[in-house]
Amino acid sequence: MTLLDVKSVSKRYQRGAAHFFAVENASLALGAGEFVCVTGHSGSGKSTLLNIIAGLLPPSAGAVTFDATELTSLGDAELSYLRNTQIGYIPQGHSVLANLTVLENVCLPFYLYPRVGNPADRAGELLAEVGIAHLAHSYPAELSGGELRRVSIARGLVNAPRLLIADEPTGDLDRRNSDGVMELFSAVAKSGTAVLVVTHETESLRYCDRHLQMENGKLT
Amino acid sequence: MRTQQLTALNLSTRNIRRRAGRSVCLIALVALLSFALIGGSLLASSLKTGTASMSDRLGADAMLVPAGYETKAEGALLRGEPSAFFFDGELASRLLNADGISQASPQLFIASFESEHCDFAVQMIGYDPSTDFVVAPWLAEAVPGGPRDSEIIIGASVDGKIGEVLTLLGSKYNVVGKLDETGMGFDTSVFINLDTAQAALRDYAKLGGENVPDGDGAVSSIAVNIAQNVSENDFARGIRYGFRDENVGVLLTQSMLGSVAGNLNTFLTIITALIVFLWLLTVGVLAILFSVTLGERKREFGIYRALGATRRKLAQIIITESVIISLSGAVIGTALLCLAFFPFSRLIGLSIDLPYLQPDAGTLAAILGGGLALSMLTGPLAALRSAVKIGSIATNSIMREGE
Ligand SMILES: Nc1ncnc2c1ncn2[C@@H]1O[C@H](COP(=O)(O)OP(=O)(O)OP(=O)(O)O)[C@@H](O)[C@H]1O
Ligand SMILES: [Mg+2]
Repeated sequence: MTLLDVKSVSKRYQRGAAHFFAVENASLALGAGEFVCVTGHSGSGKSTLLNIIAGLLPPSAGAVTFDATELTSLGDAELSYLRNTQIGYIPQGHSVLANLTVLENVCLPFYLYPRVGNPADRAGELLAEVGIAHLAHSYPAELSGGELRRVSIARGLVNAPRLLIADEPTGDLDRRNSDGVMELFSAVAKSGTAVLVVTHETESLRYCDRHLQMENGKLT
Repeated sequence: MRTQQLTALNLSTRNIRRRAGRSVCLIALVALLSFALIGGSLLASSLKTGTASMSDRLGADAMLVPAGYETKAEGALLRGEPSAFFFDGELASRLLNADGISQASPQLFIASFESEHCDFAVQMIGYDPSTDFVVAPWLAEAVPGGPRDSEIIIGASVDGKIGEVLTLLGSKYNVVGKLDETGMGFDTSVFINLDTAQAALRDYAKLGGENVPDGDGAVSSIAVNIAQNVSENDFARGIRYGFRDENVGVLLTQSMLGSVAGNLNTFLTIITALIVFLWLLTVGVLAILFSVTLGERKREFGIYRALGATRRKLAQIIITESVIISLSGAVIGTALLCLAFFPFSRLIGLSIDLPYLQPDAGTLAAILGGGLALSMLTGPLAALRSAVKIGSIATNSIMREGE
């Protein structure tokens, strides 16, 4: 069954006087439990595509459907709620908030909406899974780049999303650590979550079910 | 494991503490504003109350005093500076019947002095309860009919209670009334009737007081209401000319009030302009600093967006931060002002050459509350633009690395 359906999506930008497509006519379908990787040169439009899928950026043309809901039909409140509850988004680069502890960072998506319960236990488990349970009460300034990356992965999973999107999650990790992260994504996919990962590393591709390539905004 | 619940309030306080240096500056700015705002308003309002009280009390058109003593008389009335100057009885009765007068009543000013014969140095004012139209209505509120012989009504600042006996110039007086505060010289004066005052004048002369004329019926000044068909200036000219050999001076209360009111208006205009300027400046500076901060925080807010925060939530965080900052500043500024103002209110009043009277509790509360609210408003007002803009900025910044 299709969870995410991206149909002929384009994003047009203006650079000086000229228009160009950061994403051009891209289509992609993703089912529950599927693990898909996207590779491509820098500037080929990968992050732009992920942002459109996450509903952060409206496409110039085409449609993104998540679980039978067309994203452009939603207002900011509904779209934000959908993103919070259904989509775990791991942004490119450092995305951990400096004024919160590691544990609080991981819990943050839980607290953005009124909810009952305490997310700390689940957050602690996730931190253990990514191997940094001992850093739970540290502040981001005390962590290495790889550790920060793992914080944002744990944070992406805290609300048990149905779709996990990761933008170059292994960018600054060594081989062993990036294998660990990819294995974690595999396990997440096996548990029924759809996983969409952008990566530069061809070694990582062996973990995914399907591999797509992006070139000049076109997805093949 | 445990975490704090991360509400907008909680996130905002964390953000403020993270930028402690900047936050302290912003808070100090708002504190300064509320200090100036409330301080200026209190000062202005005290002066207004003082002037209003003065024009209520000075119900005469003019005062006739010995020439050369005009400023002394003004000082006695406005600031309670003890002074003694006299007309002899014969001149006084001629003045009471001078041309252009519709109503007239004499006063006798006697200064008591620090000595074994006096409990303290005050201005003693003798007036005639049956003809007086200046202070009599007001004194009658305290003591119907005014003081009888050997009775005394004391001003608000005079040390004494009803029922006590005071010694002044070697004679004893029963305190029968105590007046409300006026902000004028009356606060440090005591009132007696004219007959008692004549006796006090003899005490004064006996104890070495100077300039006391011989004979009975001496007075210090004559309060006058000018007849309808005579202008103030004509009246003043007429008196000065008609009594040129006796040296009679004319003090026009309207021009006295007018100069006070003129000073006050200039002062109020300056205060108001400063306050408006400072308020706008505060809002402007806060707005600039908030928007600069916002530029630095694009990435942070982009992350919130990626995690599912609505635009509303971002705006809420920004506004909450600004409210915390301006509220802290306003409270600190108001508290400091109260500490600086109320213990020294009287001193401030004395150092200003204008009638000064602290307004009533309701007005005080309104000034404090209003100043607090206006200062508090600067934060959210300055943050409004940033709060509206952040939603669209944040979305764009999320995919750029390390911004
Ligand atoms: N707001 C924008 N306005 C104009 N052009 C933009 C904007 N955002 C992105 N672009 C352009 O769109 C193209 C695709 O950018 P995108 O960030 O999607 O690339 P990417 O594949 O993620 O690259 P990288 O691997 O370096 O992260 C780039 O050429 C970029 O310059
Ligand atoms: Mg990218």
